[in-house]
Amino acid sequence: MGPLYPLGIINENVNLLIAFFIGIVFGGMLEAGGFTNTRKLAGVFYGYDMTVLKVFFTAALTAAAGLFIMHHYGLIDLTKIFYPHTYWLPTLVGGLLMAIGFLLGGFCPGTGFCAASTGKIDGIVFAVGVFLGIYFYAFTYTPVFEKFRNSTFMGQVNVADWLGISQGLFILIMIVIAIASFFFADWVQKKVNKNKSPEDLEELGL
Amino acid sequence: MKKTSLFIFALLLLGGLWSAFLPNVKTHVERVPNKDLITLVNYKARYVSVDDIARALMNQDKMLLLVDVRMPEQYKQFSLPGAINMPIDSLLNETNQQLLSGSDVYNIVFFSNGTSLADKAWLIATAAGFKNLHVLKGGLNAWFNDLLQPKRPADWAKQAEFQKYEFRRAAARFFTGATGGEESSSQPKVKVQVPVKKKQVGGGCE
Repeated sequence: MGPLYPLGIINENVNLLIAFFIGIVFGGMLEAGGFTNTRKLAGVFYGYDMTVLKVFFTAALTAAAGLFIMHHYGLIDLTKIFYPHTYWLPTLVGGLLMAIGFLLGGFCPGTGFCAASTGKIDGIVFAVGVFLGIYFYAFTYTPVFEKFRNSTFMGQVNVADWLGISQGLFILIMIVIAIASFFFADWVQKKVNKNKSPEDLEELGL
Repeated sequence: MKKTSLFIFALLLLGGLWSAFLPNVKTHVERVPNKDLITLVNYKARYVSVDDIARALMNQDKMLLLVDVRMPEQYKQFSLPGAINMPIDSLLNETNQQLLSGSDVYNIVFFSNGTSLADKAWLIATAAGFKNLHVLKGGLNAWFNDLLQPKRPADWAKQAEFQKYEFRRAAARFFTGATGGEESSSQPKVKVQVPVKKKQVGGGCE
């Protein structure tokens, strides 16, 4: 049945229209969950608010298990879904840069735009920074980044295949790890917030 | 932990357990290893001659499936009798894959104008796992130049050459209705098997 666009069930315009509505709901949910607050996002790094970790980990694993199960019942064809190639060193460096940006700015790109649209000045500045970064990368790509970007190519890597276990079992293991990490995160959060006054916690939305 | 969190964890865990019992998703096409590919390329037994094909066509060989791998326009202009068209760019589409999988029963022969395009198609289809495939050596060029306009062998040629020549003349008559080449009256007449159209036996399932 799916994916709708690659299988030609819907055309590009309908695809974009659906993306538009999903985007609206996604943005609304981020705002409702307090994700446009820089303090909430940076909280993961300081340990006083682990919501972001829980939300994104849950989202990733829900998608993993959901897509995997749907594939086996013919609802979506996973082989038609974009599957990126792995370049491990550039990805590692990119991940580190992203984390630094996350910590410094208090936004990830999505929440930055959500914050900008709610009129937060830091969000607007962050969004402008995102564009500057994109242009900088694009215009210096060939002389500076191209060689590094294409280094340490590993092809399409599947961690489960690499470990020699079944894909479903890998998803289960990740879910168990996630749940354990949520309990651990809660424990850290409680410990960090033990000496905070109710007013501080109120401000953090806890 | 709030009750909702525990409920979400339970759902996630259920999804994980469900996934763990499902088989793997094949996310990429299995490639033929390079070593095998070299063996395949050098596998000369894939070639069949125009004479073989002509004989099979004249004998109304039901087990022969001729596959024209050229573009549809060329196929429409001219093709071998009974040939079907599988342009090389859509060689492995769903319909064609179904037809090719009949190669357990049929002798499938790829042909093009020369040999190379049919060779490519053969390599692609063989690498994709289809068996019992062949290539018409020389393609339609050989069909016209060698079979339909046979050249009389020199007088001192071996008798087999004259037999071949006579066969080709008969084939040319069969396929075009014209008489090609010169009589080789100086040589003993070779009995050429010109197929007699047998009356089809009416079967219960036809």
